Amino acid sequence: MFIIQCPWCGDRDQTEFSCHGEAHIARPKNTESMTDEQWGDYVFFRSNPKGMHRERWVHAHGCRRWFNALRDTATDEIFATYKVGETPPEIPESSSANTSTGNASGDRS
Amino acid sequence: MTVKFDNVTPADMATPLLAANHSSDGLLMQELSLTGKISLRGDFANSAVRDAVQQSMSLPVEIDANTFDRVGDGTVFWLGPDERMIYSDIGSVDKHISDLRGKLPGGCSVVDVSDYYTVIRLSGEKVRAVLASGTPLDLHRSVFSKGQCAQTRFGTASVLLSVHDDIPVMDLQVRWSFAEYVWKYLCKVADYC
Repeated sequence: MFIIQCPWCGDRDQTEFSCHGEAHIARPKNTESMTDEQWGDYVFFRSNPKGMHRERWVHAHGCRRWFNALRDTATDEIFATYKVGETPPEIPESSSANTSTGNASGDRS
Repeated sequence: MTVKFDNVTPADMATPLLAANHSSDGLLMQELSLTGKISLRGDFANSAVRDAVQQSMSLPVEIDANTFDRVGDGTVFWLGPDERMIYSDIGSVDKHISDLRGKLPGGCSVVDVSDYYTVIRLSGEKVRAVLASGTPLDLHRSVFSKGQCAQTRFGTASVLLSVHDDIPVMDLQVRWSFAEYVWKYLCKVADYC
């Protein structure tokens, strides 16, 4: 069993949650002046790191609130969960993030 | 136990399981008669919101996460940081709703969900074992006891569980269309617990 800590409800089973991809992707403000390539990049392209990844999760069977999680995609370990709007926690040094490619630090926001 | 459709009175028709009940060794299950239910959303840190609910229904809305509070015939459940479920007598729901809508400031939502959900009451020593067969929630009395509630899943249905007594007596609130599924699931596992 895989336990995830909901920032509101505390420790709950994985099956109560669902994951909805990379977090901290802000909608561009200059949508009229963007090229198709830029728009396609925003809509379709996500980083796919091996290692630490910031993700959006929702406590679907629980309080139905969205929150963010810092998860290692290689080990499936969740290092932290935090509410939307909160400062993302630092990536632990001991993680496998050092081996990742891509922008696991979430600098796309 | 299957749901029977003969000898049904109009009062029974008001709930999806027709007031079904089940009793076996150490377990009593009963679908409660229709309860008034109000879905309330708003910013409960705002004192104007808290005062409006206090004046309309004498209920506190600023309660701890995953707990409920009962005052008179009203019960308020924590569903989320900006969401509460309020139970009241079915006959006074319309009055409470118009009262709340009149008093609450903008940005709040009050919706009558009385016939969107039904409530199954479970009591007896086997309640925790029966529920544990379908939910991943930790039901041990040390972490889930009187006054606590939790939204979780039972099988594939989203439910709201609440502990009303440590005997234990627990209520399971489920969506109308999932009620038969949950009821049959409960009756089935009751044979094995």
